[in-house]
Amino acid sequence: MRITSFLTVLYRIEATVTAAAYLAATVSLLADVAGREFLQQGVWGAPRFAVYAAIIAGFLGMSLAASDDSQIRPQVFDALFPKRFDPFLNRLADFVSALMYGGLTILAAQFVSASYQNLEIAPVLEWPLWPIQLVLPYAFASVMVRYGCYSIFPSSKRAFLKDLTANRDVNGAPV
Amino acid sequence: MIELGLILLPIALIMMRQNLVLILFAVAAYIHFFYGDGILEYIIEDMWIGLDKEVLLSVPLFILCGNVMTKGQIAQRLIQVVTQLTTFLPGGLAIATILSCAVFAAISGSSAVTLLSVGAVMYPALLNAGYDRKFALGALTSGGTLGVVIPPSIPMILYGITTETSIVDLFKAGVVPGLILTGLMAAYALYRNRHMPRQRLDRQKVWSALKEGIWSLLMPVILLGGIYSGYFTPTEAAAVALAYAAAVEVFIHRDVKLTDFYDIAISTAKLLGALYPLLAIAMSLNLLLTTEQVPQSLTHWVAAQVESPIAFLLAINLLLLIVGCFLDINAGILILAPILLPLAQNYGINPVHLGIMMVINLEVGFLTPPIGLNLMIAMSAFKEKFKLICESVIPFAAIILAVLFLITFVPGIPLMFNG
Repeated sequence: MRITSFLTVLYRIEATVTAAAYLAATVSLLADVAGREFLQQGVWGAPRFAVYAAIIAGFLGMSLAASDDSQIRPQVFDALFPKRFDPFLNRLADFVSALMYGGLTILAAQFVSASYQNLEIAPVLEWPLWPIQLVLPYAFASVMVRYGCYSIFPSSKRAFLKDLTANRDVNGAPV
Repeated sequence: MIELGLILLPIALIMMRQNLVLILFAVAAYIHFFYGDGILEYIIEDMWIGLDKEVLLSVPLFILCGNVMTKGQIAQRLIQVVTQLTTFLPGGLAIATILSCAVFAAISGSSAVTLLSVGAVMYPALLNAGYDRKFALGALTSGGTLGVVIPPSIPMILYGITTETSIVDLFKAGVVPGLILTGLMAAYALYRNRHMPRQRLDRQKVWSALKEGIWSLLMPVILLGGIYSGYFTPTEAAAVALAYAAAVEVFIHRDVKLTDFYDIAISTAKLLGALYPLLAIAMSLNLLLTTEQVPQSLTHWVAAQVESPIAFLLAINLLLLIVGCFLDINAGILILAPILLPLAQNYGINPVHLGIMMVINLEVGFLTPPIGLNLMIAMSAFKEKFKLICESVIPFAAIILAVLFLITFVPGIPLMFNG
């Protein structure tokens, strides 16, 4: 139960930040277009800011997509195994995914660390890049934790998905 | 032995039900390890470089825009206009279905969004009007695929980004094939339903539908007019389209509340959460393959095996049709476009022509089992049997294949507006 609550809270926080990031990207781009259209001058750094906001939203979105298995997965060999092995295979899949996302987390952390040490800055905005790049290790780690929980406590996956789809129609809209 | 490992690794991961991001990551890591310098951190660095591009912004904005329209009533109003304008034709509602899909696709850029939005209104309408269930299913499931051919199209944007081809040129090249596909599908709908009773054109109803739908009708004009006239870049057009759709739905139609935007953002985030990391890792892998000169080696090898451009075109179409059966269109383009482009250029094939060919070819994948996306969506949205839906799309898939054949061997058709 605690695991499910943890996964639900994590999902809600990430969903809120993602929505805010999309809003920021859209508003900054629109402000830039409107500025160029009506004031003959765009908003300084707005497109760059929008790019970084979209990257943040995109990677947090990865965690949201992982939460209900909506990532793109080739299913060509799924039928090779009898249905009765599905629970075991799905659990194994979650475990292997957790391991691989763990590897990606380490690599992403090394990348951000190198960026911090090399004092890399964002073009135009001239902000340090590493705080923005932190979304990479965070998102990979978040997905690793989620898959880890799913593989160790398979019931948490079912409970979380039930929680997520409660009071929603087939298209995911609130009812 | 190392080459065998490179083939077996993705197969093993697919069998272990891993997602495409992890499969590509594993392949990239394997190549770095055995063929490159072994520094895996470069994978992440290349991912960052791949994503740090302004042109990519158009993808989330178009998807957001499509989701806003799905939540609101823009689709319904467009459908109402098209339906009223086609009532005098035999099988008018069937033609209206295809045209509604085409018009909605032109503003949403997404196949799934088009199928869901138009299908929600037209499927019950077709059944109530006495149209054949199988035809209705086929028309909606296949009409939805027009979303990837008629610009703005997300797969075309992805092709443009991964191959550094002009997105505006790709959009221009998509117009004629999109119109041909729409025309042929509408002609088939007319022929198939030629015995359905026709109605008199009611000018009052047409006028009323036009008045109600004027804000929706202006959407494709602003969007496509802005892009084709060169007034907007695709990214700016996407931002303006999103702002327009949001303003129309919230302040004019009043069908969407401000609180609905949270759900819209989340459904967009999930879609992009599957796409963005995939795009990043695919671009990282492509950079790696280029560094290792894989496309060049492949080009030499293929050139030695296949002499005729016609044989080459047939071969890549066959390959893409097979890939489309098992892989999502976006994933197929992200992985294959950078590999196929140098090969195609070696035979003098224009990058824009190849892009349109790839998009139309992989469009068929929406309609082919085992994992045709539109088949799955139609099955859950219309609560119908998978077998019936598969059978229903056969005539439409044949039309798409015929257009594909035409586009492949007559490059002048897609390149008509590209000088």
